[in-house]
Amino acid sequence: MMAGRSLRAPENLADTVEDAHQSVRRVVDTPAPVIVPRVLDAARSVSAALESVEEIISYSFDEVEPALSTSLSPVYSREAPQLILASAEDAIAHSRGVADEHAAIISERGPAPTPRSRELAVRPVDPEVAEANAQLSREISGSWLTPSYLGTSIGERFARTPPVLTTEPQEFFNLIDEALSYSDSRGFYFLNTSHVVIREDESSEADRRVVITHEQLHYAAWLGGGRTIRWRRDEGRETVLGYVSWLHEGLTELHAQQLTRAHGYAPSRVAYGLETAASYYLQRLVGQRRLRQAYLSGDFSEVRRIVNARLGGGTFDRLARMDGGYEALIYLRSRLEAAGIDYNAWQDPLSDVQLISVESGGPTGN
Amino acid sequence: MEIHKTEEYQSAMRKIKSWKEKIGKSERGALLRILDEKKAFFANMRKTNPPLYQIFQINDKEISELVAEQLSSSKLTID
Repeated sequence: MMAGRSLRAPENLADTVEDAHQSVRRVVDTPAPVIVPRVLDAARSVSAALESVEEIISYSFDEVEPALSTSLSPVYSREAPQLILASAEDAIAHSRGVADEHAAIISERGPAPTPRSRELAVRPVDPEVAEANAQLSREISGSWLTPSYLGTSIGERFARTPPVLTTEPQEFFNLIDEALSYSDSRGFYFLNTSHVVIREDESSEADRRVVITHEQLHYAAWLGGGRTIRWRRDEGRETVLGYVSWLHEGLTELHAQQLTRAHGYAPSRVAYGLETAASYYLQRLVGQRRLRQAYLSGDFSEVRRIVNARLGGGTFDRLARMDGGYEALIYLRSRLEAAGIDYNAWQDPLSDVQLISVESGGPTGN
Repeated sequence: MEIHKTEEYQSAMRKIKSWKEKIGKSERGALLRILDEKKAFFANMRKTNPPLYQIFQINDKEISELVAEQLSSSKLTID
């Protein structure tokens, strides 16, 4: 017991450990001629992470957050983001900084954005639209994503530093898309901040609600450690898989859709249909509460144990290492069929997800 | 035929894996070239085979996020 000492992990612990993880990965992937500097870099990062980890290892786990004490170390869980936005003005200033940074990337890749397109990217949107969206955002963070939904520990942290939403013009999204070679992005969550963003031209209320909920869930999961998927193996060792994009997005959209629909709003589309469908199958296998807790905390030990018990040893590990929802859906369906589980009988109000056809490769609904 | 058995699908998977492997060990110039390659690759896929693009959209955005993490101070989750 370390009576009298704070039980809070050092503020930068999660980032330090992640940096070390990335550095080691780079070493593993590095060809021989350039390996020495990478090894030194990794050694420094690992050493820094170990110092931070040692600080909390000495604490009794009885004293650490109850939600995490039974399984994994809480090193990926955050007390608060580094950049806490106190007001909409702070968030607007942050958006301008992001726009500048991405305009600079575009300039590096080719012709710089014209002053006009830069100006349009940061132009103020219709104040009524901005205020209506901000109000929806406050309602969702205050009434939907409550401690009883998120779990006490994450929910309280989320409530202490609630997300701040800005509504940005289409040109802002175009600028970031162009810088990063993507297209049609509809929302952002900026990691290590409390800032979420939605497009000005998102027209229906149901669609705005689902996108805002989706982005806020990204923030809640970031606070909880949910972006770093990990589990405790049977013999007690911890496996840290890291960020699994298809699973994280699928689970984010599944929860956003279910919450939005449960409150009486029917969005016109489901983002990441294949990933969401695969996540829905997982939910049917392990139960809503258990999957939500895993999604938000990153601790998939229980989910893995149940999936492997029902679909065969090694199923979850293979699933979590897949590159996309399509591959995952095909694999899950084959394992369900082999286990004699009739997934066609699973009905859910999320009917769009039900209509996803693996054979055609995409959603056939909406 | 199921999409995942086609050569186009397999070839796209190889391309994505190769980009992901390169991102962690590339300098800035190489990262920018990956973005250029990715842009051309997925623009063509969106045009010629939209169902296949729906499968790979998650990888399209994931690679953008991974590169953004290396290129800029503002790490972001797209969509």
